[in-house]
Amino acid sequence: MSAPEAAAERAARESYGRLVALLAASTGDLALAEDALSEAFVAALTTWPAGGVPHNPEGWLLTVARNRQRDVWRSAAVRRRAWLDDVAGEAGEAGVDDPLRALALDALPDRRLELLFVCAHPAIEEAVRTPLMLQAVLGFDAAHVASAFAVAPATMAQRLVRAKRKIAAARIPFVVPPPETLRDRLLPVLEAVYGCAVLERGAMAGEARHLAVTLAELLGDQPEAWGLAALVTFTAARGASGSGDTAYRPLDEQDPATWDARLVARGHAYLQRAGTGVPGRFQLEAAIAAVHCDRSRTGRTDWGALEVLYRALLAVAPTLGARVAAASVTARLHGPRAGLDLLDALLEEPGLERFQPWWATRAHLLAGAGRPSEAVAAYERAVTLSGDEAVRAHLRRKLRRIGGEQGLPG
Amino acid sequence: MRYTLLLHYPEQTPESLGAEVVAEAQQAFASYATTLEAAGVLLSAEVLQPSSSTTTVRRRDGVLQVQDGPFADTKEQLGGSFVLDVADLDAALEWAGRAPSVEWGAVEVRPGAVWFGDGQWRPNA
Repeated sequence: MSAPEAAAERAARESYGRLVALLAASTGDLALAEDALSEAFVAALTTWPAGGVPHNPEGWLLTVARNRQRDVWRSAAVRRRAWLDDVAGEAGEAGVDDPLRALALDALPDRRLELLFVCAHPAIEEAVRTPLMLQAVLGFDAAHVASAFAVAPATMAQRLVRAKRKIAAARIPFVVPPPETLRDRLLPVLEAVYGCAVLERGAMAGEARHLAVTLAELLGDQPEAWGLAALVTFTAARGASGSGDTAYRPLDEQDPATWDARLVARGHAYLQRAGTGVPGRFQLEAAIAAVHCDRSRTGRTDWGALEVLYRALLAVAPTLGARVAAASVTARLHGPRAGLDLLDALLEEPGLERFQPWWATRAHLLAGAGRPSEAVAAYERAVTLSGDEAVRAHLRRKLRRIGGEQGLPG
Repeated sequence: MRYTLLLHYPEQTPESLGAEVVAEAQQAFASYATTLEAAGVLLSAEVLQPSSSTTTVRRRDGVLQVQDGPFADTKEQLGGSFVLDVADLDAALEWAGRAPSVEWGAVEVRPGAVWFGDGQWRPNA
């Protein structure tokens, strides 16, 4: 996609998310909002080419979608009344009341923050929060979201429908949580946006960055939100290599010249906005990413700084991934045996058997420690646990190298 | 919007709990119900007798079957319910989190669909 095309797509998605948020917040019904808006887009495609694009396209779309939404509300109220044996239902009329009526169309409020909190509400199944954001806030269809998550389209569509039905039926409110619960409620939102950034091979890295920056800007002064924005921006900078090279390379084998310097600078700016208070998990991960990115400037990696940052990270968020990464930093500074000791300390952790980074890191350190046959076994295990063909190819190359040194057939 | 809080917890006898624990729990539920009522959100509240005293009724092939015991024979049993009228799920969850039995059981928060009052079914809204 060319740069102007990408910019146009981004603008269209931004506008879509704003309109869906506004429509859904007025009724609490996300599915209805999406349907109404897609009908408004169809109406636009049939009338704009002939009659010209209206002076305020967003206002036009909102008006058409709002009318459609109101019609559905009215007929649903009628159906409810019929089922209720023709009760003279004032409750039905209340449902028809249109909260969007008084909106000034040239200054539409932004309700996307509320929508993000709904998508990552604790009452919504965790696995569907990120897909829900991609669909509701960025307008991706279920098939596209399904492919990013390597799930069958019908399965993904069903999950999304179920989640939206719950939002309406249980009346999950479209509100930004009050200050006393904001901290707890923000974490799942940040995690869901992060979930979009770590999809295989950066399939949605640009979208993750857009969501994270939007979230941080809408919240204004939440340090962890800016930390996340910085983290996904640094990650995107390293993934944005325009060389067309599709082979997988681990971080320290990448050529910093292929990283996007503009995005690195932006990541630093976001990290600065996170402030200087006690840093949380995402700020620390962003700081770690910043140290790696610094190699493009200094030509070397500051492993000592990384060790300090990982120590802080493990104190606030000792996830399995962070502990494995910390072991690999320790190995750089104090030798592969020290790293292996840290990996061995994780042996009792649940899920370790299927945790690819542990096996890949262990394989690498075993090779470095002069234990080739164990390294081969660990590499083979890591290969079977990798979902991505490019990663598997990279691990097989490493395997062949050990085989070659040992005089084994590659 | 009406929500029913369904209280599930492992059943214990007053003997196994001890008089002091029973008195504490009764006190906690009394103060919970009073708080709900004072907030103007309580529609009804009921604590049930143990499932050993329950009877289940079904009609199968035209025959009414009456059986001793609960609908589902599980470790945790439905022990009581509160029907609340609050603005949205966040408010219902907030009240559910204050139910004394969240300490030793689980509270299920279920939105109502329709309810009957003054001679007719009414939508929950």
